Amino acid sequence: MKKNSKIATCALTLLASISLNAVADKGSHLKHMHDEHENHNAMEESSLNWYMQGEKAANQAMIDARKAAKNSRKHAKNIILFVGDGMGVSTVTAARIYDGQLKGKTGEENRLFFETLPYQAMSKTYNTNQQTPDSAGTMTAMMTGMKSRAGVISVGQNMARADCTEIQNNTLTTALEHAEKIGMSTGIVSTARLTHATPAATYAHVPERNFEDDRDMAGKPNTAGCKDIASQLIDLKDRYGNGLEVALGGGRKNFIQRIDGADPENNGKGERLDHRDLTAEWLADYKNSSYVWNQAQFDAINPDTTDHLLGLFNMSHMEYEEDRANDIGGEPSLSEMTGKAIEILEKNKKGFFLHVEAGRIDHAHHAGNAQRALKDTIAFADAVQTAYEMTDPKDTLIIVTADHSHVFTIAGYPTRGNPILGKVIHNDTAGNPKTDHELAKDDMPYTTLGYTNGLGFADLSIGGDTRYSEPGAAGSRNDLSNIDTENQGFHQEAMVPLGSETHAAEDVAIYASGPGASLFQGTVEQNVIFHVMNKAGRLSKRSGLTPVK
Amino acid sequence: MKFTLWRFFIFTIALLLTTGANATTNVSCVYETIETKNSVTNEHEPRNDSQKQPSKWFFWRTEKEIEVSNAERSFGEKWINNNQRSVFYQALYHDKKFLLDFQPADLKILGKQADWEMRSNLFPQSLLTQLERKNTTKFNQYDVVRYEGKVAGIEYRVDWIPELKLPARVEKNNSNTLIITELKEVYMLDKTPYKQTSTEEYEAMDYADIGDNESHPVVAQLQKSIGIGYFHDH
Repeated sequence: MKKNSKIATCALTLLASISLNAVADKGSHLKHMHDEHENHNAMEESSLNWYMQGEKAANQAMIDARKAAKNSRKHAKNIILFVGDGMGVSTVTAARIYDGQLKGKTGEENRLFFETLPYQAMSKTYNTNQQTPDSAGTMTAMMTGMKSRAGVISVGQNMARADCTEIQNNTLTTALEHAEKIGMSTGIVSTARLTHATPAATYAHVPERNFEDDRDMAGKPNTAGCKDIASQLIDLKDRYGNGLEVALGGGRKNFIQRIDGADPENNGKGERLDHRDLTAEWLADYKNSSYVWNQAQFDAINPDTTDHLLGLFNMSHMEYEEDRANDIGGEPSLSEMTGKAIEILEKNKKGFFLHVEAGRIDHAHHAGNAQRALKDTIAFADAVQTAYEMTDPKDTLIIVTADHSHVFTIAGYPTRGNPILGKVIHNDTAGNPKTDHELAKDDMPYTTLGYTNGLGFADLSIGGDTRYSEPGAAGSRNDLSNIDTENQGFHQEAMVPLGSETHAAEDVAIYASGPGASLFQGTVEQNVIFHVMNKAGRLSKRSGLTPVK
Repeated sequence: MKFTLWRFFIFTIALLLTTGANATTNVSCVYETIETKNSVTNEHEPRNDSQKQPSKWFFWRTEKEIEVSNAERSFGEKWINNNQRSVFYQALYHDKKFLLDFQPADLKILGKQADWEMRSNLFPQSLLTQLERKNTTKFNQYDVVRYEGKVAGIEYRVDWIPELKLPARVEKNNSNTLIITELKEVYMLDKTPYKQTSTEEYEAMDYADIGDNESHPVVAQLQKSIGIGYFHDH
């Protein structure tokens, strides 16, 4: 008995020590970030200070490099995959500057939280049939370890789009499915519809990203053998483990029936023709489950007593961060959803897999509205910080990346601290800022941010998707002299006139922390992301599932 | 006690009358709109008006839905109002068996939220009350009241059918343009020979997804037109 007591005391001491170390480790990272930020704010910029700052960063890199070998062999209990949809490198740079400038700084020296994570790599994003990819094929690569075609969701590259005849031999196992099979808790969080390509690729298998509900498939040829995406989310429990613990995002219409009054918020119709109300099924399938569709209900959720949480906060996508406060029913932020998800998932001792997507960075870019894209990127960075602070870096692998980039550029030679959404002001010959906007060859000012293609310039009272209802203006210049380009309703100029701005093909960045994060090095194919999660989490080893079902 | 009951009775009758007055008649109409440009170059010279071809269009209305369509039945618009709580809008591309769904949030940012009454009655009541009431005539079996006046520099002449809460004719005249919209045929909805085209089988896309569907064959085609969704306004 005495011996047992000694063992217990020893174990408790050990646990406390491990826990304290973890807190200390996390605390040191956060402190390092804070100190770096404060130091930069406090210090007068000088040549010597740049030297010292660079040396300090190199020293930190040495420490990270020393830890890397050990880190690469460590196992992750929890895995969180953050995807900023369309968040190319230029978006990260511009968002970092915008974030800094919103805080009253010059901006360039600022860092978004995920930029401080210790390990980085570059990801090659092309699809097997497309040089410039789409979200469906890219997320399939990240979730299954196998690249595939554009437009398909976690099925093999040999499948023809929208043709289900070969699905039996082309269904690819996802990281989330491995996690479910092992008994880990799983969750998805997105500001897009939960049935949209990126979150869908975590749990669904279908050769057409637009098969979001059964009505989308009705009347289409060659759909036998496929199930719509929303039903696959709810039916996951019949395939692996006990199904998702958390699903928070938009896309309510894909889960409710096509009858008047089906929607609790506006009394309208959903999309389902199969008489299934998937929200009711969620509640019926699980004990201690909840379904919420507005901020008040979300806030009232007690994670201690909730084991399965479905939140569908909009009929379609959730609002842009810029517009979130104006939502009719009220919507939680990406950070709030991430926090609530972790509180529920972390109750499982076997660990959890969580995917978080900022789905609307991509949409704002498509509309040519940089301000909304950057604001959503900042909200995304906040969500990463929330996750980092709520978890233990010793047992939680956090990966932050994008599925693809956009044709979004930061151009001209604006002076240091020039408003990132503003018009370009050059330096004079002595290298000091001029006072007037720089003029192009057509004697008109121009913005730092722009798009290679899309609908182009518009100055609207409310920006974003409103752009699609206005005439295109790309391919010719507009006099911006009297336009407030920093306003949320401003849409940047574009060169090639297209109905919407497009994705871009250059590599995107991967940022990572936690066990196995050091496996991210150099420039890798996008499907390597799965394999890092798989190695760190020992997913396939423990699940016994094969890559192709 | 008796007094209270009497007051309650009066109140109920008044409420019923009010409700009756506000009820929407389910109708199907055919309208025609013609636009004339007033190109007077000199007051001594004769008017040289250029007239556009009259365009016919269909209008269907219930308490919860308003739909319009062009004469060719190739493009239409549908407004859906669920118990006055939220308004949804659909742009109907009948010739492509395709529709764009606009959520209340989309309508909000597009500033297209608050005109249900205008859409339902085809002429704003607030504007009608600013015009002078004139004589009464008939359109088919319906009483028609003529309203006339000038508001914000625009001359209006409106023949209003109170029973249907619809105009039989609207003349809108500013210095440059004269637009005349005329009711040609009207039917109770269940008796109309002009049935609405069912859109249940149409491919539906969210307005917010246009940007992500550049390569979609219908979207690509639509994007060549100027703006999507609101280019058909009456």
